[in-house]
Amino acid sequence: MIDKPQINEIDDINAIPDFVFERFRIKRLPDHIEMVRNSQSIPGTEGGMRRVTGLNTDQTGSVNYFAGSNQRSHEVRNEKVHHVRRALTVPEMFGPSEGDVLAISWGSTRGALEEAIINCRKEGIKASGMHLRIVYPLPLMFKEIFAKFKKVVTVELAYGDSLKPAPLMMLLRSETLVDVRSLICRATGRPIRPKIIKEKIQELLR
Amino acid sequence: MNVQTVNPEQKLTIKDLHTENPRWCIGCGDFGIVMALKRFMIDDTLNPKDTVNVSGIGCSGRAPNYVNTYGLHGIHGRPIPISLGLALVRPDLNVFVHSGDGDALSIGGNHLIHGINKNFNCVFLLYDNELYALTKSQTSPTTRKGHATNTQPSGSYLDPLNAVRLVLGIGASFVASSADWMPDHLGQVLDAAFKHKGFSFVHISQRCPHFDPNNFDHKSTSWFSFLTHEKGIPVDKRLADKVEVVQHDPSNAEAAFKIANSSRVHFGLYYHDPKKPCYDQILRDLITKTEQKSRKDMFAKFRI
Repeated sequence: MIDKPQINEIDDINAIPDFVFERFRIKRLPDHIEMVRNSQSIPGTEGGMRRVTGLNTDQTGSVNYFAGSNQRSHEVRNEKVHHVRRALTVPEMFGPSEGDVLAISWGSTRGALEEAIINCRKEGIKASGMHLRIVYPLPLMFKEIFAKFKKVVTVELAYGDSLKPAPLMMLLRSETLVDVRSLICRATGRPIRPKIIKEKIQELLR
Repeated sequence: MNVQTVNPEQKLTIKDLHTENPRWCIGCGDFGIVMALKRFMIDDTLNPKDTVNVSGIGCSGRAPNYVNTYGLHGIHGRPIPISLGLALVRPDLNVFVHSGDGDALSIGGNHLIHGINKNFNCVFLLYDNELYALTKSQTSPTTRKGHATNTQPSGSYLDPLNAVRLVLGIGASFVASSADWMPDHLGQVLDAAFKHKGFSFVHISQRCPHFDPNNFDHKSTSWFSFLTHEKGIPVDKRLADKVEVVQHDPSNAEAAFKIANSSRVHFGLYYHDPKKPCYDQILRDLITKTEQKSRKDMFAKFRI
């Protein structure tokens, strides 16, 4: 039994139970993560007066227009995303970690992909599936995972054709430089069925 | 630049409220407005740690960065929803909202309507320089007809929006008007606005020498009048004997509309209704009246 409200009112991040991390396939982040500003005081705190602004600021919170300061702010902000990237582990996989085809999905297509892979395996097709729960940032080991498959394809409910690459496919290609293709990329708004995925995989391997 | 701390034992000074040198054009009216705000904070002994300046985008949006209090340089046209949230959660804070004529009347026009209607406790400063100046001179809702800007180079096509008449029409509980070059009068207006519990709308005529040097003629006094009354705001000391003074009772809404409708400019308190209910107060009263339940009891039904 999961007591949902309790999770929402946690004061200490160390109190978050391990299964929450396992569900999102992420490790705990380091204790100290640098922020652009040192002070994060709230109104009413004596001596902590600060301005929250969209302009670039230095560590003290004062607006700063110098080139070095702007570069530092970008480095610090991106490092926060990099911490998450390093903490991400291998996403949920259906089937073995090597074979002929790896089909990648995200979001609502998870169930259809899982069923399609089970059915493919029953017929002896060496297909595996991978479902992304977090699309950005992506974990760092995708290239190694993709290398164990002959073909890598995406299953997504988004438009793509020969001249307009589908979004997830484009993202994976740019991250890994692997020749990822779209298996299904349509914008009909209707759910993708396991049968269609299986047929497309069979067609791909023919 | 280090943020200075204020010693509570000592009297607050202008230096304590200084953060950095503003990035406004030479002669900009915003300098006068921020200085008047600082002087008002010293005169009324406002504690900087309990003061929050919220702004939108524009030349006016930079104001919170130049006052050493808590500040939020928000998003375009949306300082009102941000400050409503602040007013609801933290009634102990003094909230000042800084918004320009484009920010408040064009991009954030819809929020201005509901901010005034909800009548939450804040002081709203409308910096009216009659054009968009941060983006280098475009026509704004208050640009006067015939004035050439980058977007309407042959002269603005429409009559300007009358901000004071607009907010009177929506039902603002406090409507006053002043100008950046009258620090004494502006200070008095801020003082009255701060003491009013509710949404205090303060229209400030702001000079813009770089993009529209002729928007307000601060050297002559023939084009405007002061509104005064025993319940209103005293006339600017420096200009008292040079300007026409009109007696106006701020509780008279009909007379306020007549003055706002006239082609002549009037500085002073147009309208003041201290009895209009405040949305933030209503919500807080509702919370205190509601029966207290522990979180555990509340969520017991939703357990899965």
